[in-house]
Amino acid sequence: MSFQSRDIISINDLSREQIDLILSKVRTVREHPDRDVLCRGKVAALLFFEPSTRTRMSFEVAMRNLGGESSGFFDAKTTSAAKEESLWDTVKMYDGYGFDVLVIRHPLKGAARLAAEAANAPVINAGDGPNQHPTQTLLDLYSIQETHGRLDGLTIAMVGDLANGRTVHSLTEALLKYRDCRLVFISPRDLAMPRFLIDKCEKAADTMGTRFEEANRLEEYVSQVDVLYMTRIQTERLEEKTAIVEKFRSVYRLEAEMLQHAKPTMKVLHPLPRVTEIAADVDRTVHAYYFQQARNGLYVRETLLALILGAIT
Amino acid sequence: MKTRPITIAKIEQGIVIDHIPAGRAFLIAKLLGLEAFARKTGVIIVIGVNFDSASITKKDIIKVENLGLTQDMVNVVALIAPNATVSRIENGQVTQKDKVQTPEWVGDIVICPDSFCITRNEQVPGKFKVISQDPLTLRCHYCETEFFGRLISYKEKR
Repeated sequence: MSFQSRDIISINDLSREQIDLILSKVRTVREHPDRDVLCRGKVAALLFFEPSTRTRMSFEVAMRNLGGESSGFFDAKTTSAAKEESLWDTVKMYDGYGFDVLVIRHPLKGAARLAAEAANAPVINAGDGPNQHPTQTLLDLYSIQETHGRLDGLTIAMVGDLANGRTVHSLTEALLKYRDCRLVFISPRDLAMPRFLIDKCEKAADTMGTRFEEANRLEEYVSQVDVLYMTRIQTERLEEKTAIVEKFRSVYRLEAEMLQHAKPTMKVLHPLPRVTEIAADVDRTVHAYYFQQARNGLYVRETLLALILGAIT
Repeated sequence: MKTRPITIAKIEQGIVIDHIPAGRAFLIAKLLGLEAFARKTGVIIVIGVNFDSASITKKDIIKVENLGLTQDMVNVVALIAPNATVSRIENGQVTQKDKVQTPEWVGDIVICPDSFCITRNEQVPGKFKVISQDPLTLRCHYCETEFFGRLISYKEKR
């Protein structure tokens, strides 16, 4: 199983074994004696057709930490896309400059898949609209595995805007590759997990031993779960319903006192940025893990780059 | 029950699509662009609707002179009429008869229902994986949206 020159477009393209291999290499790269020269002489193109600060910076820092370089654009308005150049042509053109890997973020779904077809160099999807953001899913999985030692047999609650959250959709699909997980989807009814994912969970019951339930009260589950994956209620999706957003935000808010009966090993994750859904006092508890989770994003991206660029196998 | 005698024009060269579920022949004809084909070439096209059938209660049938089907056209037939047969006629004789096969993938014959999909915003030919036949469910190769039923809309061939 080799990842050299491979595209990373969707978590759905990866088998459990492939995910496990990537996660198992994170420590290898973190502790590699030659980490700072692993990708020396390699250059990543960062093609960001929509603004992003964290994902972009973590790829930049990851490349630098491995001794490589990165270059690119971070706003499509500054590129020929503003002159109505097609995505295909833009990717072809940058690919022709001889980059070793292309990292692409684009507001439209499927853009990364198309870019991978246009390019000779391997492509990493850094977010294609509301569709996929596989490096986020891998860092979520890594954070769960790092804190619990496994991905099978865990009880994981996802909380908040489950209708619009790309991260919870991909995380759910990834966890369906693991055995005997219990998934709890906690959201207001208006923001429930989409039907097609509920169908997939139902199908996984027989094959993978997955159990799942939909609920709307966070308090009832805090003591039962191994992972509480909080998400932001996305105001941009509900802009005409300000009052509803305020109500949801007050109901789906985690505070330190709610964690009194949580398992000692329970971890709170969040893809960040958070708004009001996790109170600041949670940061000081042993359960808060979202900042380490964000830092894991750097390690996971370093690992993927090292694998794709053939620096490790 | 009295059987109605049915006569339908024979063709010398061309294709016969048989065992189409009743009522779907017009859709297939539209998607294969048969009207434009007839107008341009002056060939004979026969569309029979609601014929008695032993295997399905009622069936439709299409005969087209001087037409060969591309794989994309056969795929259109297979998606809309999974039990159809396509016969090739040469010199008035059937020289080949095949039951259509549900393809694993179909090309640019369907429109992705997700308006945020790259195929809806740039000149990109669509590509779809057939997830299941009953109900017919497709997944967009690009945006990964799975859809079925009324969300499946076909591109009209002009």
